Amino acid sequence: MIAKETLKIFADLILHETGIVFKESNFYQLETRIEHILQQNTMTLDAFIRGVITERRADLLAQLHDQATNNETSFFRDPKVFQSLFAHVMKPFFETKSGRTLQIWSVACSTGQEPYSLAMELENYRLLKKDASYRILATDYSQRVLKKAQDGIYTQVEVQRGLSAVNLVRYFEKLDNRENAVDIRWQIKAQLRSHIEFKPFNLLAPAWRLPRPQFDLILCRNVLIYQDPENRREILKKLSQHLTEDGILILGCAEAITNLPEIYVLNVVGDATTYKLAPAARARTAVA
Amino acid sequence: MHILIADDSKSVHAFMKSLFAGTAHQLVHAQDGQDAFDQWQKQPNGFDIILLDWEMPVLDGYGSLDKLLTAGCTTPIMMVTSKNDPSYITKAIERGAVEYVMKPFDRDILFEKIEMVLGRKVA
Repeated sequence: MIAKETLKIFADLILHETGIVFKESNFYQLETRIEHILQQNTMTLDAFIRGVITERRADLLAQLHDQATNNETSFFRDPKVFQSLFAHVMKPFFETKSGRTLQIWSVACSTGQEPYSLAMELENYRLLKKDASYRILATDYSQRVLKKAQDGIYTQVEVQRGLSAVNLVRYFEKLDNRENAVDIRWQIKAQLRSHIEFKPFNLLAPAWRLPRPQFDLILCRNVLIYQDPENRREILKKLSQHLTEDGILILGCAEAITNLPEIYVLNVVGDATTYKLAPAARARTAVA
Repeated sequence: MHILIADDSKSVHAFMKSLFAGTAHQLVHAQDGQDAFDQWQKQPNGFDIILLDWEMPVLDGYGSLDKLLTAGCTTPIMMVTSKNDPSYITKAIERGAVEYVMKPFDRDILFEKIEMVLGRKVA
């Protein structure tokens, strides 16, 4: 059992470096995650404290940050959101803005299921409308999950979470010819991966350096829920500067923007709650 | 919901039973593909979904899928099998299976796939 005072030190460190809030009521989660790191490294708690706090060991800090971020995800997580985004945002974009490339940013892409789900949806559409062009920027704070996302390699269990059999055979290749083996891994085909650019990114960085300035669709799902109100507000303000005039921002199902009426307006599309720029913010974008 | 499950393994039947324990769904077990066909024929509108293993004696899962569809079965049919080569998945989907689950799987995967097919919550 880890003492509450010790957990508080780690919680403060995580808050300072990632913005993720661990309240006392969630200390049990933090404890489980630290115990997981101790097990992985076969080290004592004292050695871990020394390594992280005194020696600032980069490998241990990275593991602590990784464990602090909730990387739970699956393909087409919240399927109705994907259906709604496709029907009410992506498809109309191609119908009305012919010739333009749809720019999408998956802000916290974790192990890649979100950007790959978007790409699969768009590739299915491209079977009918070949000139539909899109680019996806996929970012995450954790280098470990980003590496997995970039490789696009998943276990047999992972490729069955939320993914239809049609999409599996269309966009993945089996990495092993053994039949009926249970430890098979599947990889996203290179063609699909080529539409996505993966980059490490810290939402709390003072200045955001992005390969593209503006996006037609930004997905920032299940990220803000872990941030304190001040960081949340700051992140939302910065995100607004990266939306095109008609751009759409979507948050997680349990997240909402409540205190920035000068920047965002609610925009419900099908079963998805999204946000658009408020008129004043749109005007700024148009001028820029 | 009424679910017809064809698998020649008793342990798979027991596993399925444990997955659906605590739900109101009714499971009907068939021991091979022919048995699944016979059970469906007795009550063609009696099932919401049919789950077929591939490798079974008498009539295998693909043969059963083909026979059911040829006889006019409109109940959604999903393959649940350890055959994980894309060629099998493609073959089953092209013949008319609505989904494909590879063994091993867990409760979440199976329920999600059934929800994907039927468009309603399972649990």
